[in-house]
Amino acid sequence: MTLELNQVAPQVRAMGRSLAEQKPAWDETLQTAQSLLRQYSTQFTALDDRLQHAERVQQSQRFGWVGAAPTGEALAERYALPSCPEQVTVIASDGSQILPDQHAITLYYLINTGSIVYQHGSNRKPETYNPKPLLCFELEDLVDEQGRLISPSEVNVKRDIAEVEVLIDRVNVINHNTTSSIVTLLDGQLTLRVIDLPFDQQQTYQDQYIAKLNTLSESNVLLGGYIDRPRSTFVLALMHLASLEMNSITEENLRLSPFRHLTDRDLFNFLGPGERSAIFSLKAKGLDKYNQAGHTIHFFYLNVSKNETMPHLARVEVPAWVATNSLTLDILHATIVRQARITGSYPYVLARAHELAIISTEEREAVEMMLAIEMRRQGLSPSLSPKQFNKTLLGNRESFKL
Amino acid sequence: MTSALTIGWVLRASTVGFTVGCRVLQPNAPQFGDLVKVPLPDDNTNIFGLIYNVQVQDDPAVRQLILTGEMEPEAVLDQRENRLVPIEISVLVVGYQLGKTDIVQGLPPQPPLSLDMLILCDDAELRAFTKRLDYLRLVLNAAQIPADEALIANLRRAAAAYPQETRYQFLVSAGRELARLLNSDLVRLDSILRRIKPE
Repeated sequence: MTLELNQVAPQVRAMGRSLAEQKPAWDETLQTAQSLLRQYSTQFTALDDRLQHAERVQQSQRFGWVGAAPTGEALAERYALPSCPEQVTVIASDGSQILPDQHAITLYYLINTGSIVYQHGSNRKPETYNPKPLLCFELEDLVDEQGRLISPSEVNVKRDIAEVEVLIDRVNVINHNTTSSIVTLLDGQLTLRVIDLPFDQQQTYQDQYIAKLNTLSESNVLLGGYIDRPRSTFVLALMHLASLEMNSITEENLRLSPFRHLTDRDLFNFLGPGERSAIFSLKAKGLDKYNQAGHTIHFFYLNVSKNETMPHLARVEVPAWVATNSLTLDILHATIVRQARITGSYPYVLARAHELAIISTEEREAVEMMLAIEMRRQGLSPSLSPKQFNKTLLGNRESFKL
Repeated sequence: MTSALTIGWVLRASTVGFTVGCRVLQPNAPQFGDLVKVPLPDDNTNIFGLIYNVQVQDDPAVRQLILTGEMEPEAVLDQRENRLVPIEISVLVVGYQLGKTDIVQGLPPQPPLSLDMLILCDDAELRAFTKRLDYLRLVLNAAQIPADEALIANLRRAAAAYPQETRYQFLVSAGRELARLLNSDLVRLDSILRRIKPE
């Protein structure tokens, strides 16, 4: 045991005291934020004026305000759980990866995806599908022109694109066999996280990804990104903006949020079982391509719990082509709640897609063993780096474990 | 009738018994007390055993579904048929057969190995095995298993494999052998005989 728990224990006690001491102040701030939400619930013009002013303020600055914008629904309203169609098809996909590791026996990365098609009301076994895992080992897969190793962020982006490819594949199969609505679900946000990549790669990958969103849109399916236990503060950012006088909307003031210890989940703690919040559109730099392609990202908060005393709020992202149609939005809302109630708090299909895609430690070790055997067969001498070799040796020492 | 139904594959084994893993209980899956065999691939040996326990292992995902109580039929089918629901069948070894020789009712020289296949014995094999009843002693003496219940189920199943005209004789022979083995425990003997008594 290397962590001196006896030295951590007093700090844990101090942490507990601090949390308890801060709670009254936090509750007071939450009440302020919620009263702002009620006050500005339908004051769309005032909010739009402030949003436009904030955009002008940040145009000349590097600072990019990220927040929510109203879409016409009353902000403080609770939107009841619609009835779910008896027959609805839900398709989910997920992915996982083995990242390239310079300390491993050789450089490679692997992407594995899994998906499930669940037809509610069919009495049929859900169909699971795992496309062939993608093992990338060629030089052009691994390094750029300057010889820099592919970053984990880029592998993650490739995985995200692969997840949507699987969705499209399954939609193409199912679309011919069902007349029910099809809801496709992804775990996480709908936008590709490209911020860590060089600019030209950002553009390339976003174009690829948006082309796939176009395909989904043209397939007449619904699409949602499910973010469990979100820590986003988009609506709080809007409330902060609402609290500022027009002439006080400056870059400096926008940066100083009085609500920084809260999240939107706290703000919407009044949502009852199955209820959703108003729909907002997401304002942020870097979403222009999505907006131009008709995929403007919208979102709402959703209490998927059926227990009054134990709310479970998720954030659901939907593209404009789902958000602007109340019928499709109701189907998506009801279907997600129906799915989440199978497990109690999280869509069943997403849990299963994760299970189908996840690469376990044992599987990773098996891949490395296969690689080592093949390399030896080819007359090569695979070996771990000295650092990894020693870490493995020491990490396996049982006597140092609790 | 014959039924070369593969039930599952050996998970762990010893000379006196072994455990088999299988995905899901099929409609024709073996039952408590059934005679099963494991053919050893290399030396043409069959190891015979009696199923004395079928156990559905705990699964956190299933536990979660039970707790929520929203049991949709599609989710149940997914859990049963798509996921690897771990079912373990425990088998008591009661005999073996080397090549084409007679079946020996006793412990084999070697246990089966991991991933050897478990097969349900058909009626002919059941009749061939129960020509002798030395295995009754092995079952009665097995510790920590429901030996009497497994034996009763096995004898009733074996009797059903015999033609009507010899079924009564088979059960009488089994009863006599049990009386010999349990002559010092008449209460136990009585409870078994009552349950295997011919209709």
